[in-house]
Amino acid sequence: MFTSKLKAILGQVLFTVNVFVLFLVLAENQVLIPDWLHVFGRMHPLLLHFPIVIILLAILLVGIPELLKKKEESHTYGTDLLLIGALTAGFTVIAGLLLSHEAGYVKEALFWHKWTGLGIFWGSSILYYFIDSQKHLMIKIGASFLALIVIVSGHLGASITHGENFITAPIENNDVVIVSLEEAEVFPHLIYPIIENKCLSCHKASKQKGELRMDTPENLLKGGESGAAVEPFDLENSLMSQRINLPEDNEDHMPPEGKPQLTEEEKMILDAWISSGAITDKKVLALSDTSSIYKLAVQKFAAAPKVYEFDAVSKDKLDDLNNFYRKIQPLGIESPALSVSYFGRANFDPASLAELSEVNVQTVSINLNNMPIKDEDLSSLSSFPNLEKLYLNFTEIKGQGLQALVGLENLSLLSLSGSNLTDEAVAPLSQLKQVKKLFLWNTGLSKESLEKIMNALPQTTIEIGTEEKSTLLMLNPPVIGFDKAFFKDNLEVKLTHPIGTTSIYYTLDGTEPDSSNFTLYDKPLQIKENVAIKARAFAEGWIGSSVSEAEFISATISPSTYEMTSLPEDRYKGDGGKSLFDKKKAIPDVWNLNWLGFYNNPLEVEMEFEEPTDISSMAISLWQNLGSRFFPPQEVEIYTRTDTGQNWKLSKSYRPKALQKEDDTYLRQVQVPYTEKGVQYLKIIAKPLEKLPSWHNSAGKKAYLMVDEIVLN
Amino acid sequence: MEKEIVENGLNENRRKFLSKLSLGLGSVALGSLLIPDLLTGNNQLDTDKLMAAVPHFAPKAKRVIYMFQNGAPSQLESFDYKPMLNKKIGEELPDSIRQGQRLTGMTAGQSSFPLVGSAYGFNQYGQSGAWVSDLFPHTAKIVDDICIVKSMHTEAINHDPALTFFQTGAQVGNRPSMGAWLSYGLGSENNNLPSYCVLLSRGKGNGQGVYSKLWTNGFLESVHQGVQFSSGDDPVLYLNDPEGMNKMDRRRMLDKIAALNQINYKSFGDPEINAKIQQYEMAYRMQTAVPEVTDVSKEPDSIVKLYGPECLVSGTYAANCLLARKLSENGVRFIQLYHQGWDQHGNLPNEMAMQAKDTDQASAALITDLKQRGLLDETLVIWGGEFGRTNYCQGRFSADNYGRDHHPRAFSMWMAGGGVKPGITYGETDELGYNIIKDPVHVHDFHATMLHLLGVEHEKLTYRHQGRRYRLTDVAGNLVNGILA
Repeated sequence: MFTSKLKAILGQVLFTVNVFVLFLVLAENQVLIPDWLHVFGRMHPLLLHFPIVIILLAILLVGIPELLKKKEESHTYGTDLLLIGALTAGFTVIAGLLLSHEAGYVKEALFWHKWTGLGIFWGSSILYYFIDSQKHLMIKIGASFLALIVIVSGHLGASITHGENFITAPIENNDVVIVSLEEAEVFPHLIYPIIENKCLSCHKASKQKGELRMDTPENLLKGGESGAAVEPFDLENSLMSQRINLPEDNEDHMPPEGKPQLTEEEKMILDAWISSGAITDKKVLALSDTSSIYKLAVQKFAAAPKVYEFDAVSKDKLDDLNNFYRKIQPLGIESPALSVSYFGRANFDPASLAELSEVNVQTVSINLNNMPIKDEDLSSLSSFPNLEKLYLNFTEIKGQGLQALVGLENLSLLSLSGSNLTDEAVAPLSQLKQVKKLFLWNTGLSKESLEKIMNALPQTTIEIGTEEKSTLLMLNPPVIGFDKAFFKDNLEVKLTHPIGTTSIYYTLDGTEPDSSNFTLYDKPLQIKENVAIKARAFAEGWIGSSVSEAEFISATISPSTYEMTSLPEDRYKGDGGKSLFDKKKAIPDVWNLNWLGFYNNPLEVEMEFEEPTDISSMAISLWQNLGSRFFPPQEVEIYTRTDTGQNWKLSKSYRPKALQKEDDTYLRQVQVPYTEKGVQYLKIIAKPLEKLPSWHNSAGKKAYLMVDEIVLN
Repeated sequence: MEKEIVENGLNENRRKFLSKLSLGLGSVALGSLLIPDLLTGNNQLDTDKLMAAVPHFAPKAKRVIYMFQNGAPSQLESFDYKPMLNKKIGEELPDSIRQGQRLTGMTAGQSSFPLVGSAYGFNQYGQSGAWVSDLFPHTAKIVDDICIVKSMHTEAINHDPALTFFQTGAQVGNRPSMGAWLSYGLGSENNNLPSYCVLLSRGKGNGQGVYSKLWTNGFLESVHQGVQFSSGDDPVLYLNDPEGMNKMDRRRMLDKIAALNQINYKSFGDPEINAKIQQYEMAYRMQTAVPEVTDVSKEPDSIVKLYGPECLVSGTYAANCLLARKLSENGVRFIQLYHQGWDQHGNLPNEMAMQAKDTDQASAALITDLKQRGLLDETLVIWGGEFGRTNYCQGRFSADNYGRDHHPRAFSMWMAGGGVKPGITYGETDELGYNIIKDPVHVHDFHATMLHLLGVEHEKLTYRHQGRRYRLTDVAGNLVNGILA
């Protein structure tokens, strides 16, 4: 590979480097390194890659010559590579020794790296000088040893720059141990995890940038070359607080640019910790609960989900236990804890609780709301050591069975709302000191009993519901029930109210029903003539309802056939002509299908009666709504003829009274004064108002005619 | 019919076979690089495990009741107190505030935008001192249990897109709505009831439509679709056996149909056939479960007083709130109420008062009721509309009768229970109530937070459809940490 001349020169250089390295090592404490040499020293992390690769390659070629086609070539290449490797190792060692003189590195941490590094250099030099000797075994052993120290030294060096477990970190279990608020201690659980993640890589025993170690509270107080990192109670003079709060582009900002930064929350926690005295030996709960550090800690730990120690149940077992009326589900994908819910009162079998004994350790929540579970069924629950939440709302529990829950140390929520408890419940409930939330609304317990329980459990939040007796509420109006508001002979009307216990007062004369003016409803009303019913509901403990009203109109005559000869507006076409004689009253809602709305065309309908009929009155049932431009017709024309061959003959024309600005919006019957005997064919034309009166917002425009029925008697 | 046959044939064709195969072998290695959990099994949420869906982590809330105020109630007459609007009443909305905000067709042509303040007074309530308008006296009593968010904002300016956006995370249709996502991600708690139920009611104010696309399953399996409960004797339509059919007959019929469907499934392989078998079975069990749940006759008097007597009139908002509690108690994952009538473009003071009267008591009652049963901690309750309303008047201006147009940039809603910090007000708008000046919460952020409270990481709850993964939060959404308890 190399010419022998080059080889000789390089061999000489290697010797010189050896001498220089020896000098540096022996005189380590005496030399002063000029600044410009530090530049070379800092190239150590660059140079070190060469000897590692070259020496390992050389050893490979020398140690296993079979790798190449010609064994001799392998030896030659190996020897030359070893020479280069030894040389680069020498330069790397020199740079390393120079770098070790810089501040920030601790002698102890460097010790083994330095000596193994020197070992590589010296070892590779010696191996090179003896490589051509015939002691093959010795050379092989030496080569293997050299390979080993290359790896060891490289690893030690990497640990200094990248951190102890840089390589293994991704496969290590990095899960942060999350403790509950009760167990959390200030320094180990609140402060140290932040420092560990964001500060420790540069400020630890093996690498003390600025001579600062942050691995223990004592070291934080001791500080580094610029002074103490933490001055308890004194935020302004604590360097840690100063540095982390500097703007990120400031040179002194910590963590340095490019490294993972502290979050706002972490900064707040560190600052709050310092200003509250940098407490190191207390639990979070022992802090004053008005301090900001306490509040921040509570926020942090309360949000953390609880970690369970027990093993998860197999999926197959869960599938076995799940059925249509019982759902057993892990709290989350990776949580071993289970919650159990029962559904379907009609299908509940108390014996099914016993089946849960297979998962008694994992079950943390059981919901038995609305199940017909009895006191004796509760005994099986005493074997659920990790049960935290138990819902027994609206069950058949009386109370004495609750004794089974006393030993459940983890029970923090118990809900018995709606279950009819007796005084037997007081004793067991009073012993449930572990329960943090107890729900006793609507349990039938007397005030005295509730007070006893409250006194026995001062730490527990007890919810007994809010029942406001002081404010009276208004009843909703009764419902007037009937088939069709236009009736022929007779109509049955029922008055009902959703609350069964109310009394319904009504009137038929259009007056408002009240305590002095009413008929008490007791049975369905039979309506035979036009009436307006007004009804109100009353009940004790309530304010009387508002009025509900309905109008019933007798319409005794219906045509046998009829045809609408002009079309209503597309928007309001209702059910076609049928709407006019279906006896159904529309409600004031434009989408109601009983409305026929006319705008461009008049209402025009031809009727035929089975036999000549006497008509005594006529009315058009319509919606009068000034704002929506729903007006009575401008003019109504009535035509008759005696058979289909004849032309229609006008027999009456009528103009309803024009509306005034003050007129109401309501559903009304516009009476058309028309009486005639023996009518067989009849035609009505009702024209919508052409021009809205001048007082109207849309004066001059057309009006709609909204009709739901034509009433003939 | 021919089309269906062809489509069904496509369920087991060469392309599908190959893509399954390649997914099984070739892409495992690549897949494990792209999806770190592929080999460790966390991927099960992505496959369809109807019964075995489990939250990603222990959730704070197990269920949701969403009282959607359809039409967008005005934040300025409810929770966002802006006395400056009363002081500056009639003054023009400054352009510096409007910043070119796109307007709806209803006010875009308006030549002037006079500011108008609330016709109703405000007061502070509870230990938290939250501001609530006089229209919501019952909500005012529970302010210490709820978290009022004043800094919601959305992207749409009209009802349909805004509603669709709120329900599905996208303004255009066809995405699954949030209840369907939860049904898909968490499964049903009670297998005898649908995991997603929808209850409708209508107020007296100007209303906007609700339609079944709002509770669609989108591209998820149809079992995740919301089931609408109607008012009247038959809350779930077509559930009861017809007259003359007894339960044994029904059982035998279902068994036979299931056998036929199985044959069909074997030859076509359409997963929807399986879904259908399951749905028949669930309907059968619902025949007993639904009457048990919807029966309000056993509710004590105190409950009737709490929700107001309307709660016994089926189809009202109060009745729906009560029913929602009962469904939630019975393990229904997501209950969506829609109350129509909040679209006050005109006549706002009147209509808003009527709407508030219809909803205030029952909304507050639901919180109180869940609380006294120990269920509020694990139930997330949400109240709010699809956007806010403008701080200027729409239409004819007067101090005591005015209207407000749609406003997407800031509106209020409240949440309670299941892991939400109680007794706080989150976010702030400027003194004219037009722009958010602190802690904005986008609809995607709201979705992300809601899912988080239910133990679901919004970025992990995905479904593969038409070649890409979809999420409820699309490609956005940040947790709103400030409202988490």
